[in-house]
Amino acid sequence: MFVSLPSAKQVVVLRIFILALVCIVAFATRLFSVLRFESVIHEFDPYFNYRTTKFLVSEGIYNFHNWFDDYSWYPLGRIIGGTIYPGLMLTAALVHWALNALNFTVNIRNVCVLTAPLFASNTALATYLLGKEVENEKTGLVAAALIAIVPGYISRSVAGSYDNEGVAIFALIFCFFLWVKSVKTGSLFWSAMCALSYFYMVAAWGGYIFIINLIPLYVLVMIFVGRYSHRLYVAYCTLYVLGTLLSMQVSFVGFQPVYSSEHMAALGVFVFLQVYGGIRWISNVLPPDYFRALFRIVFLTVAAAAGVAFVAASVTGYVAPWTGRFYTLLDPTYAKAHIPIIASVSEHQPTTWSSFFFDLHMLTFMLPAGLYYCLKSATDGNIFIVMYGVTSVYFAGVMVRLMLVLSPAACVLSAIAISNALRTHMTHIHSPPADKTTGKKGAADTVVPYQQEISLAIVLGITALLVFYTFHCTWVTSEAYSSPSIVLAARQHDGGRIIFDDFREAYYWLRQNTPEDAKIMSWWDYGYQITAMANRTVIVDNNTWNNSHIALVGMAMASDEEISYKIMRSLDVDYVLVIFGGLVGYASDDINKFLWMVRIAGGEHAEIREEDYFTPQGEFRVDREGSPILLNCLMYKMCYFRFGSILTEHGKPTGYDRVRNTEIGNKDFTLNHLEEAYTTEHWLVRIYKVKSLANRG
Amino acid sequence: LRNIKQRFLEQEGIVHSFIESYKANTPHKLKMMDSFIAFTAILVVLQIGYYMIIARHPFEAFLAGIFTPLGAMLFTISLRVIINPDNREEYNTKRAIQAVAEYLIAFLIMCLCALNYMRQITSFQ
Repeated sequence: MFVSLPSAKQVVVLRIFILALVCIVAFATRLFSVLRFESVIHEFDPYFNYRTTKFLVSEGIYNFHNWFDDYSWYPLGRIIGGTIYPGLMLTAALVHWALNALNFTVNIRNVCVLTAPLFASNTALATYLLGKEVENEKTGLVAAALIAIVPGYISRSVAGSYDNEGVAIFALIFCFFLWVKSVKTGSLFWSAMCALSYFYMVAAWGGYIFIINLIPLYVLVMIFVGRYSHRLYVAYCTLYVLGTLLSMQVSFVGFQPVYSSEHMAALGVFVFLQVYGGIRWISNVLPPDYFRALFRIVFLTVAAAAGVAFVAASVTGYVAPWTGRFYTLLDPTYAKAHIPIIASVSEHQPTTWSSFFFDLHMLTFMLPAGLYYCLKSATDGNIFIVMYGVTSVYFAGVMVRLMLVLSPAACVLSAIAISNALRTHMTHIHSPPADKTTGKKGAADTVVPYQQEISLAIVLGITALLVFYTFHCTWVTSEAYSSPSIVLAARQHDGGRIIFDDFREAYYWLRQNTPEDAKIMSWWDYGYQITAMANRTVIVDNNTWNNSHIALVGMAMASDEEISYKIMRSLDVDYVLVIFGGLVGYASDDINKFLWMVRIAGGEHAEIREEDYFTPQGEFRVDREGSPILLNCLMYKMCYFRFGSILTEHGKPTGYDRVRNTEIGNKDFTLNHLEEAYTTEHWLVRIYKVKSLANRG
Repeated sequence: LRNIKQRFLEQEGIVHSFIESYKANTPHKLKMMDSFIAFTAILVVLQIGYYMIIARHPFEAFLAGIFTPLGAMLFTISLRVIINPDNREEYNTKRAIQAVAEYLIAFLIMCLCALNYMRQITSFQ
C-alpha cells in the first residue's frame, strides 16, 4: 500500500513516521528512573514546583496568584504568587485538568513526573520545524532525531525532573522557529505568534533574557552585514512591542523590561531600527543629493541625543546595572569573590572540556562543520542559527547549567552538516559525476578518482558516527542522569542492590511525629523537600532570596552549642535536621558542605572566620588533628553524636568516617540543649529536638 | 553666522523638496495611513508629557498609555510596508485583505494586554 503511493506522498508518509518514532524515542529514553525505582519527583527544586502545582490544582488559579506562603522562611514568609515563573505549574495543571475532564483520573504527581518527557517530544517536533525553516525538511528530521536523545537536554528533563527547563526549552526553540519564520515571511501574523510564544517562555523560565538579547543582536548583525529588509523591520518591531507588553504581564517580571539593563539592548536596537528604517524611507522619497546633506545633520543630532540619554540614564541610576546572577555570565570570577551563594551552586561552575564531550558526543565537532555550511551559503535563517550557536557556546563555557541552551543549537548545526554531507555523497553514489562539459569557464567539476567508493565510505562513516552517538547517549542517560537523588541505590559485593530511602523515611517521620506548627531548621538545600514531603515550616529553603537569614542559620550550625541555642531559640526552632553520610559513604552530606556554610555566615558575621575551621597547616580535618573550633561546633556534634561507638568497617577503629576516611577526633560528648529525636536506618538523616529552657534557673 | 544661515536655508529647500516629492509619489491610501501614524506619534509624545508633568503614580497606566499608541503606530507602519506597491518583490504572495487580518490580530493582542493593565489598576482599591 505504501509503495503504490506517488513519490511525493511517500515522502510525506515517511516523514510523519520518522517524526512519530522520534517522539516515542524522546519520551521513552527519559523513563529509566521510573522503571528502576518508582514514579517519584527528583532532586530539590522540583519538589517546590510540585508543591505549588498541588496548591494550584486544589485551590484554583486566583488563590495561586495571590498565595503568601507562611511555611517557609519563618518568620518572614514568602510571596510565592509574585516570585515564581508560573508557566510550568500552569502547564501541568492544564494537562491534569484536560485528562481529568476526559475522565482519565491521573494523579497530579504522575502528571508532574511525566511532564518533562512529554515536552521533550514536543521539543523534538519544534526542532524539526526550526531545522525546516533554517535549511530544509531533511535537516529538520536529523535535528529532531539528534535532540531526542542528546544528553545535555536529557540531564534536565528526565521523568521526575519537574523543573522549569523541561518546559522552557520547548518554548525557546518554538520561539526561535517562529522568529525565523517571521523574518523570512515578514508577516504580522507570524511575528504576533512569535510574541505569544515568547510570552510563554517568559512565564516558564528566567532564561528568556537570552532570547531578548539574542534577537536584537541578530537584528544589529543583519543591518551591519547589509541584509536589512522590510521583513526584518516588521518582524522585530512587532516582536518588541508585543513581547515587552506581554512579558510585563507576568508578575515576577513586573516592570523590569523597561528599566533593567538586561532588557536595554532590546530597547536600544528598537530605537536604532526606527531611526535606520526612517532614514531609508526618507532616502527613497527624497532626491539623492538633498538626502546626503540632510543625512549628516540628522544622524549627528540623533546620535548625540541617544548618547546623552544613555549617559543620563546610567548616571542617575535609572538603568540599573546587571544583577549578580547574569553578571557572572560576563565575569565568571565575580561570584566567587562577592556572592558566595551563587558560587556555591555546583551547576554554576565553569564547564570542563570533558563535560562538552560527555553531553554532546559527536555534536562537539559536527557543530563547526555546520557553521561552515551555514556561512558558505548565508541566508537570513542561517545567520540566526550561527549566532545562536556561537553565543550559546560561549555561555555554555561559563556555566555548566547552560549546556542545556547549547544542546538545541548543536543539534541543528550538526544536522545541517550531516544532512548536507549525506545529500552530496548519496547523489554521488547514485549517479557519479561523469565529465561535465557545461561550457562554463573554469567551473567544471573536478572528477575525483574512485568518487563512488569515497562517497560510500563517507556515508558509512557518518552512519557509524550516528550509531555510536546513540549508544553513547543511551549509556549516559542510563548511568549518569537517571538517579532520583531522593532514593539512592548501591551494589553490595555479592551483586545485590541496597536501596537507601532514608530521606523519605525522615521526612515522613517528621510528618507523623511532630506537631503541625513545628519549625525545622536545616541547611537551605533541603528546605523545598521538607515543606513538600514533611509539610512543616522551615527556616530557609532553596529560594535563597534572603542572604542574612541563611547566614544566621549558617552561624547557628557553625558555632558552639551555647551560641547556637540562643540563635535557635530566637528563631523558634523546634527540630534540627542534618544529613550525614559517614556511615554509608554518601559524599554530599552536610560536613562536606560545611565550608560553604562558614563562608556564607562569615560574609555577614565577623565572629565566624573561615581559617578557624582549618588546621594550622590549612587542612580541613575531622580527626584528632582537626581544629578544636570545628570539633566543637554544632554541626560536628549533631553529625557525630553517638557515632564514636559505632563500628563502620572491619579492621578500622570505631567512629570511622567513611567519607572523610578517618577516625573522628571528638568521640565522647553530650549535647546539652538538643536531644536526638530520630536517626534513619543508614544514619543519613539525623533529627534533633531543641529542648526548651530548663525549669529552674 | 552666514554659514549657519545658508545651512538653514538649505534645510528649508530640503524639507520643501521632500514634501513635494512625498505628495507627488505616495498613493492616497498610504497617505491616509501616514496621517494615522503621525496622530499616534503625537499621542505617544502627549502620554510621555503627561507622565512627566502631571501624574506618575499608577505606572501601569503609563505603560498601557505608551504601548498602545506606540503599538498602533508600528503596526500601521508595518501594514503600510506590506501593502505598499513598491515592495511588491518582497511581499508578492500577500493579499491586502490577509495583511489587514493579521494587523487586526496583532492589534487585538495589544489591546488585551492594555485591558489587563486596566483591570490591575481598577483592583487597586
